[in-house]
Amino acid sequence: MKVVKWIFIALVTAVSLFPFYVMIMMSTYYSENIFKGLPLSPSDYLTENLMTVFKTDFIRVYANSLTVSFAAGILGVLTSTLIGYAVAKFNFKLKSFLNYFIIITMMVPAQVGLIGYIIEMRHMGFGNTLMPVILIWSAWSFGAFFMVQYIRDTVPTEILECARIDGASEPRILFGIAMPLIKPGIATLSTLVFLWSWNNYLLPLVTINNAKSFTLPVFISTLGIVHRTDYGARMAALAMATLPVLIIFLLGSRTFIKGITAGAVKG
Amino acid sequence: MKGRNRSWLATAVSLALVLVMALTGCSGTNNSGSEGGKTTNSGEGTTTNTDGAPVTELEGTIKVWDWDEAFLTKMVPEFNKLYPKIKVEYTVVNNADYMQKLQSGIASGSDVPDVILGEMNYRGQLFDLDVLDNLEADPYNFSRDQLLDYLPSILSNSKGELVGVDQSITPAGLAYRRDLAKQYLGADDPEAVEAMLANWDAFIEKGKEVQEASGGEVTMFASFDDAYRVLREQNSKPYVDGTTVNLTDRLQKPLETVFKMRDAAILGKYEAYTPGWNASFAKGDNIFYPMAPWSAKWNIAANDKDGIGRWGLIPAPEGSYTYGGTSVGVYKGSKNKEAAWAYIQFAYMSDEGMTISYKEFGNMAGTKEFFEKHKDWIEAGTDYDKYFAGQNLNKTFIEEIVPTVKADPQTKYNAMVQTAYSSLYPLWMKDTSITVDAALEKLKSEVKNLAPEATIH
Repeated sequence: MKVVKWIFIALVTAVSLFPFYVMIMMSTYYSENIFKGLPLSPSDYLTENLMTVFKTDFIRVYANSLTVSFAAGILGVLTSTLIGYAVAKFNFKLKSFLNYFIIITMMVPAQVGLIGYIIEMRHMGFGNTLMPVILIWSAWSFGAFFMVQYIRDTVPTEILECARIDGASEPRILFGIAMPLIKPGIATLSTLVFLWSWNNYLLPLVTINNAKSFTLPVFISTLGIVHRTDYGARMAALAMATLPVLIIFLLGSRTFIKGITAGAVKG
Repeated sequence: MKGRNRSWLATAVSLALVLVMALTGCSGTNNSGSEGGKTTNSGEGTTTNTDGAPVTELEGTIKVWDWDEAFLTKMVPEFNKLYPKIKVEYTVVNNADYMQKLQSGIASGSDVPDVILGEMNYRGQLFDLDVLDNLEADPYNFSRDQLLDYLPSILSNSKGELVGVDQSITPAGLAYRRDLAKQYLGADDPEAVEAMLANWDAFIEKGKEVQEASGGEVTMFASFDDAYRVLREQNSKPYVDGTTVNLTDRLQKPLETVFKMRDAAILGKYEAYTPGWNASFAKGDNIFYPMAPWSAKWNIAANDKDGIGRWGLIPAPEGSYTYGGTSVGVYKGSKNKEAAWAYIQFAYMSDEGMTISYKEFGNMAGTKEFFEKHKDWIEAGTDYDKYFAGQNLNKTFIEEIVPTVKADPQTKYNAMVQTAYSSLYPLWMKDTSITVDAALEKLKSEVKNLAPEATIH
């Protein structure tokens, strides 16, 4: 039985890692040779592809993407946690309205509000900066919704009340007592924001008109175009762009899975 | 105690709510945006620098969205030698995303480039947005008579205004594999091959012979789409009148011919611009490919690196056509129209600009003057001629292909017809039981779905 299990695991691993493998192999090919067959063995064009990539502003773009994703992570998780904590653990006027409001905004596709959001950013003076791609996460309805559910399920109100009786201030209760309890949730949410903002294409495409502020996906789409698409160079750039996401996921995977499944079964 | 905490929280939450509201959309009516009014004075006047070359005093900042970064990094510094006071801010935009980015820019009132490029795929849609300035009016005062005769129709919007100049001309003929032509058609010399294929009937007959001789291995075109592209464009005529789209009149004949080719089994199995199609250039299972001047670099040299001396170029049977191409125009709302126009003139039409553009990028200006003035450039040939066994490609284009070029005026319906066709043709090429009439009816109904307001004939 164990053998079957391991074979199954090995199979699933191979299937999930195969695309990454092909991506890395593709990055060693001359673009036009990629499609002559399935590129399973490395070719000899990696240096040229890397040169195509590094000849451009790749490092700056990379730094932009990291800035955006980390800032988005911090901002998104912070606001979501605050909203989640408030809605889950306090009673106040319009609480249920706020709760529904979060759910309703979640149902509206992001594309619908796109033009409005660009106009808003322009009026705030953030045109052509990284701010529009970061700030979008400050009002992240999914994050808020997730945190409401998560905090409701994992933070016992009794603990908070104990702390209150012992005279702890509200900020201290949140940061000293509630936060440690919801770490897995925060890790999950951080991973999600990081992934989504790292891979975001549409928003940076329409809000950033300045090559200096390009993020990776937009930058990669402009690599080697003009009648021909340089897939080799793009694959090389993509391989490098995928790395941090993989690392983040590996680091956070344990808590990530915990966070995702938390609240699924009531203990 | 509890009550006090509550009120602290209530304040915090309401503050957070206000913040969230502010960030999600309900922006006020503050219209004093900082970016919209990025005006700089544009003064005129010319002085000369030490070399005696005129340096113009035109000032301002212009934004250019282009996908060809190599062109920009070369051209902008050259432009600035002559126009030191014009700052060119360029953004590299993938042509597949160009319209989306442009439309969001226009709709949101944020950044819109002063110089707008219209690739053939979305040109009709762009022209119908009505955001490009008429280049024959002030301050441009360009004249369509300066352009090659076939160009004004594809550079004009539906009002008939000339709204762009050509980035590089794109008259097209057929590229062919000399080795295969020699083996199956019995000749590889362009003149002989051209003489053999006086019309499409002769082409189809030859195709059948090739098909038989090669045991079905070698076909004339690599793709149904390649053949259709040639046939559709060479049968060019205006077919959109307001919201009336005369599809039957426009496409009956090209579709009949391409279906005849399909039934004669002389078309390859590839869909154009797929990886398989790209690889077929080097593989050698198809003789002919559509070819415009840019194809030498981007189709032939890129896909058939070892193909030196392997290719030939002839005009297509029954006339030439246009293949791809990009128009360059000025945004109506531009604050620096004169500077934008100076850039366009310099980069795409002037002697100084064309020296670089032609010699480094192979671009040919769409003006008559260019070809009168630079006969020697054309005579000298280009690097890509070696793929064509020394045949002078540009000379062939100018002398044999340009004279019979025809081209459609572009409206948004062109793009819709193309979208509908693209979704349908893979089935047409596979299922030989579909007749021309059935295909045309299907195409009409698809176009009708995309454009419910239009009358389709």
